[in-house]
Amino acid sequence: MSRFEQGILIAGIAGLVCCAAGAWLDAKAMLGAWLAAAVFMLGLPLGALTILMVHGLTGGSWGRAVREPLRAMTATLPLALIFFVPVLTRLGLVFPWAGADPATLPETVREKLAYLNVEFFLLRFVGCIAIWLVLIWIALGSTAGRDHQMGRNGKRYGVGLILHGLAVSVFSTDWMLSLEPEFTSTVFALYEAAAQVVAAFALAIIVLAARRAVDVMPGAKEDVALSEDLANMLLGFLLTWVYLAFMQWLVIWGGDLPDEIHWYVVRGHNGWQYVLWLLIGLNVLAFAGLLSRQLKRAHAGLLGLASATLAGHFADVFWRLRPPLLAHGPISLWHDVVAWVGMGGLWLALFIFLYRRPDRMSLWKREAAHG
Amino acid sequence: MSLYGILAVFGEPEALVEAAGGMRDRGYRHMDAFSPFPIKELDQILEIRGSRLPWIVLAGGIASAALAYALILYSVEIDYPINVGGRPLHSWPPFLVIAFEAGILGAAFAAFFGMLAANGLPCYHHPVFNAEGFGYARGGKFHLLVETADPKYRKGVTKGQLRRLGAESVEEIEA
Repeated sequence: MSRFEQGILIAGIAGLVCCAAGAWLDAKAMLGAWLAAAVFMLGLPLGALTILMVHGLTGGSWGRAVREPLRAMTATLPLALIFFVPVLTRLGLVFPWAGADPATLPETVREKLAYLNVEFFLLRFVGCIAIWLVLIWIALGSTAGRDHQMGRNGKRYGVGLILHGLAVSVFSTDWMLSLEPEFTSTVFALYEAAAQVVAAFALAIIVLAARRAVDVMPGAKEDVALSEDLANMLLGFLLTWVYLAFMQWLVIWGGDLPDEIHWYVVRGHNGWQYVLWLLIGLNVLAFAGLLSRQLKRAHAGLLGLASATLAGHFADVFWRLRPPLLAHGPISLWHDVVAWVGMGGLWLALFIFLYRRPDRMSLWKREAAHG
Repeated sequence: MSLYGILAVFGEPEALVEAAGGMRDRGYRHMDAFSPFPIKELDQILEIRGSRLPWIVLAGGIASAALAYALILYSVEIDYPINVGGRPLHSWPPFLVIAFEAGILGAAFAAFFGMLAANGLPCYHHPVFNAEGFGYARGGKFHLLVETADPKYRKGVTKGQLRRLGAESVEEIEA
C-alpha cells in the first residue's frame, strides 16, 4: 500500500471510531447520518455495474477508456454492502414502519405493512445482494484482460440488466423511499438508478483525468478527442437524471396531494432549500459547462465538470435522504461528517488500491476463465 | 466576362499543402483549396475558422424557448386567465416542459438553416466549375484557387509563382 492509500485508510478508521462514539451518544442520530452516507457509497459501484453492463451490450471506444476505473468501482460493491450492516441491527431507529406499534401509524402506512415488515425487508435485501454479487462476478470476469471480445456476453448482460433494474428498484424503494412510508413515487427507482450512473461515470472521469491528459489514452481516435466523447456521455447521463428528477417534481406538483407534496415541502424549508439550491446550481453549472467544446477538451475543464457533477450528486443524495432523519438541527450534522469521512475513507482506500492493482481482482478473472 | 481567379492543379495532397503555404508566405490571403478529402494542414494556412454553428444553435434554442414561454405567459396572464384546479396562473413546472421542447425545435431549425447559410447555400453555380479540369469525375485532383480579389494578385506574376510551386497546370477562371 502506498502512503497515500494508508493516509486515506487511517482517516477512514479515525472517522469510524468517531462514528462508534456517536452511536454510543445517540444511536438514532448516528444511524440516520450513516444510512445517507452508505447509500451514497453503494450508489457508486451500482452505477459502475450498470455502465459496464450497458457497454457490454453496446460496445464503443468510450467504454474501453473508462473500463478500468469502472471495474475497480464495481469490485468495491461487497464493502459498500457491508456498510449497511449497522443499520440492519437497529432498523427501528431509522424506519418509522419497523418496530412501531401499527396502531400509532397513519392509515396509509398501515395498509403498506404487508410489504413493509422486517422479515420481508430482510428477505428482499438478501435477494438484491445475491443478484448483485452474481452480476459483478459476471461483469468483472468478462471485462478482464486487455482485449476481451465485446458483444459475446450480450445475452447475459441483457438478462443481467433486467435483474439489476429490479434489484435497484427494490433497494431504492426499501432503503430510501420507505424512510417516509406515506410517500409514493413510481419514478423514484429510475431516478436513483440514473443518479448512480451519473455519479459513477463522473468519478471514473475524475480518476482517469486526475494524473494525465485524457486524449492520449487507448480508445482515443485521431480526430475525435476522447475527453469530449466522455464528457458527452456524461452530459447524456446527466440529462436522463434531470429529466427523471423533474418528472417526479412535475407529477407531484401537478397532483398536489398532501402525502406526496409533503416530501417536497419538508425539503423546501428549515434550511433544506439551501441544499436544494446548491444541488440545482451545481447541476446547472455542470450542464452549461458540458455544452462548451473548449472546456470538454481541456484537461482542467474536464476535471472541473466531472467534479461539479459528482458534487451535485452528493448534494442530491443528501437532500433526498437526510431531511426525515435529521432531528436535532444543524449541530447534529457532525454525525454526517464523521460518517462520510469514515465510510468515504475506507471505500476510497479500497477503490484506489484496486484501481492501481487490477491484478488483485484476478480471482474474478480466473473464475470466469474456468466457467 | 470578368476574371474570378486562377486555379492551379496538383497531383498530390502534399504538393497542394506546400503550394498553399508558399503562396501564403508570398502574402496571398484570398485563396481557397479543393480536394477529394479533408486535409487538416490547410485549415491553418487558409485561415479557416472553427465552426460558428454551435453558437447559432444555442441562440436558436434559447430564443425559441423564451418565445414559447412568453407566449404561454401572455395567454395565461393576459389573454385568457383561467383557474385550473386552484393552481397559480403562472404554473412554471408544466410551462418549462413546453418551453424546453420548443427550445429543442428552435435549436434544430437553427442548426439546419444556419448550416445552409454558413455554407452559402443554396448556391446554383460556382465559378470554379467553369474550369476545364475541375470535378471529381476528371480524376479527383487537388486544386488551389487564388481569387482576383487578392491585393497581391497580378495575373502573370501569380501564374508564374504557382507554376514554380509545382502546379501541374494553371488555368484562368471566368466569373
